[in-house]
Amino acid sequence: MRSTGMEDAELAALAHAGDREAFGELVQRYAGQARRVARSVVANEADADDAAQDGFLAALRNLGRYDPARPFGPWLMRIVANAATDRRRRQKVRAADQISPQTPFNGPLPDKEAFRRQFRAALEAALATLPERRRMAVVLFDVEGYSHQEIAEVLNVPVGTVRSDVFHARRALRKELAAWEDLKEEII
Amino acid sequence: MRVSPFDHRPDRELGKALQSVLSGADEEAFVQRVLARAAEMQANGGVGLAWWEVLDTWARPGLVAAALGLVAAVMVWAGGLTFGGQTTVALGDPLQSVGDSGVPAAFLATAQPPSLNEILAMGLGN
Repeated sequence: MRSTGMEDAELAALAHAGDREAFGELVQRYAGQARRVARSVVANEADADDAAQDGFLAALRNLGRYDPARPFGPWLMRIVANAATDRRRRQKVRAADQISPQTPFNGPLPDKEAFRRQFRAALEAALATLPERRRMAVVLFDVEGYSHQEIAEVLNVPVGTVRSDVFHARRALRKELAAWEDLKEEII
Repeated sequence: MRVSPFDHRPDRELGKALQSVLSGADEEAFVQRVLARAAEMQANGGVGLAWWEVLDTWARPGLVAAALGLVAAVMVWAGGLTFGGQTTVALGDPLQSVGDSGVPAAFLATAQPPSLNEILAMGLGN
């Protein structure tokens, strides 16, 4: 594929001119990130995918507004985050299945896959207790590797607020990880 | 691990754990779905800015241009007033401003007798 080695800005310019292959390459590059960022806002996986798709399509419509001098990722993630927030506001409030954090030492000893499922459910539940902006901040920082400055642009808040959000989110999530200390090597 | 608000490095362990929780299944299917929807949108002419979005992009520069034009117009108008006032003063010839007595004010404002030039100027003006 000729567009594989191209910079994001070049691909964005081609996509804006109607090149589907270039847009396809951008979607391929950012699909994982976009889905995770959307998922940090919208709990349901199918709704999160719809939100990520909304974000990509909104980005395609607005490629003319993208400044090629700036990195593409934060620009796209801002659109995806907004799309996810809009979708969450629009959707009916669903009673989320609250899974209380559990340690793996209660009850009969499950196998490794069962541990993994329990761990994910517990971490997801811990994530759900955080305010939306903190969830996005910690996901963008610790999972996607964006800088505080870039996240500030994505979330449209001061850099100091991002630092604070990441700090508080990490503290809450690390408490959850600590309960799984003995098994985390196997299950993460 | 000690948590510091000044820690600027990503936490790999937490990042990996969150990634496992948040990553969706079958990424290729998702990509194909987005591309199919984008192709559909392009076929329907939905790509590019709608007319209201174009107007929106022009609204801000338009307002700035209008404001600058207004400021320029006000400056020209105010400058004209000031300049007009100065014209009256600058072009006013004391020999031409005749008082009730019919004698130029310059003649009455001084105790000295008028010079020959002033008298000739008055005569030519009248």
